[in-house]
Formats: sequence, structure tokens, C-alpha cells
Amino acid sequence: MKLLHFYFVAVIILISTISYSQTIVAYKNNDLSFGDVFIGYSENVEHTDPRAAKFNFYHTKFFFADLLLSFNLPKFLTNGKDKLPIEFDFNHAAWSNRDRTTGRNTINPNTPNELRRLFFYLPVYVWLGGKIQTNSTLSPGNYNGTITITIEYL
Amino acid sequence: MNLIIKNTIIFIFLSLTFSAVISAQSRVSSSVNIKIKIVKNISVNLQQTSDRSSLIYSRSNSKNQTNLSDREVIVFYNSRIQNSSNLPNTSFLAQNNAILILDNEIKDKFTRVASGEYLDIKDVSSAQKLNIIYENKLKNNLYPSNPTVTIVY
Repeated sequence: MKLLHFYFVAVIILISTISYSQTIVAYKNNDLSFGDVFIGYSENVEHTDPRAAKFNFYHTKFFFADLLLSFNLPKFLTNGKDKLPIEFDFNHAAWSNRDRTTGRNTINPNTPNELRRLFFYLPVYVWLGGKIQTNSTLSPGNYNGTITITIEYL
Repeated sequence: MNLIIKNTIIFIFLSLTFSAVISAQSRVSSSVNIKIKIVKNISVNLQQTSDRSSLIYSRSNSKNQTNLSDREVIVFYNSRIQNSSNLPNTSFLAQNNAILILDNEIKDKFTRVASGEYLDIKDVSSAQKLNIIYENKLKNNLYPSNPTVTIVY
């Protein structure tokens, strides 16, 4: 009778785990790096560019889940003194289940994106580039900014 | 019967526990940095068809340069500065024992710069496109294997 009880509890724990496990795990793979840009010039990094930012994530909800992917994007990069405008559009963001340059799904990084029926534990890769235009009034040196990606269940 | 009631209570308890614990993890954020360095001078390898600086986007053989075809020189790299809405005043430094020619796409109007010398370019409008042509005076195709040009703001 005790053995039966043990098995029953074990099955309940297993079912509970599967039913309610909704963890999302995200990793950062790459920073977005424009490299050296000559003053006065623009630079465009598309999502297929190796210099683009790269994340990957997966969820653990049983079988399929709908997720909401959103970006918190800066409007400027700064060196502490000057501001350098940065833009993001459809050519700059994409996602895919495969880590390769072809077959990606482009997304608008400026609005939240719904990713439907994602299989559990299957990694989703996200790439994000950007575009900057420098001008001669900017002081030379390093400019920085931060992109935050948020993934949540719908 | 007691066992069923007991285990039902355990099921509800575990379910609520898992739900409470794991729902806190159902939203996740991750951050990356954006890095850029704005520079006032840059060296561009003319052998590269697409330089990361975006200054160079094409090259061609000298035979296609009709304005130089009658000259006794070997011109082997032709690169063009990208059209820019805000091209700053720049200087070009010829290197690698070669001569740099800047051609604003008007035939027979170009400026030579000897090796080691600078050429100042000023007031370039957005409509103008400049060709950087590397001209080698060495015979027998003994051209530099890795020609570069330094562009200085």
C-alpha cells in the first residue's frame, strides 16, 4: 500500500511539473558592434551581419506556447557628452529556430512581436542590427548603448 | 477513499506551489551592449571588395578606366567612396610606393598624390562620388600585395 502511495505521489509530481513548468530561459550570444566608423559616415548592420546582436531562448511549457517578444531600444548612443542617433527597422531584426542566415522571419523591433506555437525546449534565435549616421559635430571615441529583449508568455 | 482524498490534496498543493514558483519565471529579459567607435582616420585595404568601414564598395581593373587607358602605368585597384550626405573634409595619404589618384568622375580631371603625401579634399557635396585609383609605377606587376589608403578627417 505504501509503495502504491509512493508511485501515486510521484506521478502527481510529474504531472504537476509538466503542467505548470513555464520557465523561459534566455541567453545573450553577441553584442551589436558597429566597429570603427569614419566620422561623417553612416553604418548599417543588418540582422544577417555577424556584427548584429544575437540572443537565443527556449521555453519549457509543455509542447507548444505563444510568446511575446519585445525590445527596449535606445534612440541614441552616447559617449557621455554627445548623442549619436540610432535607428532600427524591419531589415534589422529577425528570428528563427535555426542558427543560420537563411529562412529567418523578419520582425519589427519597434513593436512587440507574437511568436506562435513554439515547441518546448527548441531554441529560438533572435538577431538585431541597426543603423547609425554620424556627423562632423560628434566628438571621436567610443559610443555605447543597451538593448534589452523581453520574452513572456501570452 | 482516504488515499484518494489525501493525494488530491497533495496534487492541489503541489500544483499551487509549482504555479506560484514558476509563474515568477514566465517572463525573462536579457541585455546586450551596442558598441561603436567614431574615428577621425582610417586605413582601408583596397583589395577588399567590401570593407567594414563602408568606405569602399567596388573595385575594378584598370582596363575599365578609359581615362587612364593610354597611360603607361599599371592601375590595379579602383575604389569608390560611398555617396554620403555629409562627407567631411578629408585628406588621403598615398602609401605602399604607389600613386593615388582621385577622380570625381569627370574625365581627364583627376588629382595625383605621390606616395607619402596627403591630398586635402574639401567641400565635397553629397552628389559627388570620388574614385580612389591606385596606380603602380613598378614594372613586371610587382605591385604591393596589400595596398592601403589612409583617410584622415
